Amino acid sequence: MSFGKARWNVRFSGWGFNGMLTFAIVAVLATMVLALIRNLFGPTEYDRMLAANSFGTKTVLLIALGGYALSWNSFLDVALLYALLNFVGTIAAMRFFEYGRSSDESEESEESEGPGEPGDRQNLNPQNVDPQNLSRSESSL
Amino acid sequence: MIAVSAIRLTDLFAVVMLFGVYSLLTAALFMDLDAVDVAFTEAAVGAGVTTVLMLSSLHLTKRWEATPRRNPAVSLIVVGVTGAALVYAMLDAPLLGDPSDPVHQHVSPRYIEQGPTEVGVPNLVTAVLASYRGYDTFGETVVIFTAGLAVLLLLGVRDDPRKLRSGMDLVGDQVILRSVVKVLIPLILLYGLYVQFHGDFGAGGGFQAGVIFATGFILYELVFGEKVARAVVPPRWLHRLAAIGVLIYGGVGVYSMLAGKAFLDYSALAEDPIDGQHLGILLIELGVGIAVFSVVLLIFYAFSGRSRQQ
Amino acid sequence: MTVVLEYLSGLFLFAGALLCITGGVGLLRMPDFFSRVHASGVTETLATTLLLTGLLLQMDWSLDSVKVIMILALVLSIGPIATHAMAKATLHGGQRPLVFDGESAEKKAVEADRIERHAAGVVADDSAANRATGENKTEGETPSKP
Repeated sequence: MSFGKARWNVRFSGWGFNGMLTFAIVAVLATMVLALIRNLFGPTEYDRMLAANSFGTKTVLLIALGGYALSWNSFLDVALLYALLNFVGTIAAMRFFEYGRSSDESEESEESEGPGEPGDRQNLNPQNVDPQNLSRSESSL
Repeated sequence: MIAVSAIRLTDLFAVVMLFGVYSLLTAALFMDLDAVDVAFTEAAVGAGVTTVLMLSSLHLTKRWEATPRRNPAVSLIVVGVTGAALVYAMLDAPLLGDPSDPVHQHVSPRYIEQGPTEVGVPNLVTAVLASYRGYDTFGETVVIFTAGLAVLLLLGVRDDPRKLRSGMDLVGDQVILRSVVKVLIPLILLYGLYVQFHGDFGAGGGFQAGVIFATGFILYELVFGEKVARAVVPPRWLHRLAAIGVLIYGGVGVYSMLAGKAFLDYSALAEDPIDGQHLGILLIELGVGIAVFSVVLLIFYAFSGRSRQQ
Repeated sequence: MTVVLEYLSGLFLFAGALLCITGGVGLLRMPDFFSRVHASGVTETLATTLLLTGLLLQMDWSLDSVKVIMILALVLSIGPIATHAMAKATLHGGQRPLVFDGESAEKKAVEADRIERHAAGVVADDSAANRATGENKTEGETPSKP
């Protein structure tokens, strides 16, 4: 990264708190590593979704701060783009996570999709909560 | 490390998340190498669209990876031999950034020195992509179109209105999400238009803009359900739009041929050659954007419209 | 004036960085999903605001700073939506938060003790005659237990 260091010095010369930006970037990187660990070891899938969302938000910060420090070209466009895409990815994960189970169940009475679904009930939720009762109680809320 | 853990994990949902992380790090690496347009496209495609498409295909198949039945040693040998052959072939190529490289001796100085005067566009990447190497970009657009065709042939888009699901499931019935997404989607589309037309000056261009535009509609389908989304953008329009995008691109080339110059020579489009270049780049970026947008959305429709068949 | 701005931005950056790390540690150390959502969601929103404001104070006023303001507005509005949606989806999917009941903890301990004593009492009732068979039973049982 010697080429990167040469550009680094351009931004940092002659400031009072010239270590602050570096400290902030290092802190954001450390948080990204922590979120990655949670992504690998999260016991449930919801933890992994949360960790991926956190990772994405920290990435926006990293691109914004790092791009300013390293004088990248049009870095704010990429940061803005990534903030949007992180959101879309999180919503997609939530939508597809249940593998359309709740929407397939609501269609069962109309289409009679048959016994195709019991296979995924076992390996989805380690909690073994009955989803029918849950959705009914949720709708009564 | 991320790639190794992505291979070793058998929970495919976690693997998809890790792929998103991996493509993000690749985008950061590209930005560090000063290739902003490439980083832009990598972030747009890898973090957004690929994650969504992989999640929809997870929806269709199993979630946990099955253990391989064959001996993996054979595939390891094949991969190793192919990789070694590729590395050996690359040993003769000059190093990255080597000044005595023929590319840097003849081609690049011409682009760099005469790009602003011949093409007149401040972003050199767009100038090379759209004008000097316009034929290659045409090939890329046709490749994207062919990919869309292949997905259509293999999977098909379900057009039966009775079988579409409405969006009332665990995402669709959240009031806060729906209200905010209603405001957010026009902003995403506006940003896509900004990226499309700003490609001449900063990072941007047709590919990124098409992907961002498609992401807006994908978000709409994710939150509001298929029935509403397919009513807004019916798949038949997408078929036509994809073809129109490629046609615009090819049309510009054919027009310049009919005007007496070479294929895709933009100076035939207006009296002043620089104006012709501007107009030509505008038109082909538009064609690329339309084609990419419709193909990405078509692929998403094809994946998300199917429920699991068992 | 610029010295004040520099120190202010340095302060913001420092505070934002500390909050960021706190949120990350909270993500790892909290026992339950919902506490993790709280830890990560709250700290990351505030940390993003502080860090981006610190960055804004260091830039000259140009199109770039307007873009930073746009990114800030976007993250501030999108972040809580995402965490809210995730928490609601998790609740719908069957997870329940880890709840500490202060008053009935004693009841639970008493209940558990009673069950233990009842089980031990059953074994102790037919103890004298069946102690040998009881020992044989336990010896026979332990190899079968995984």
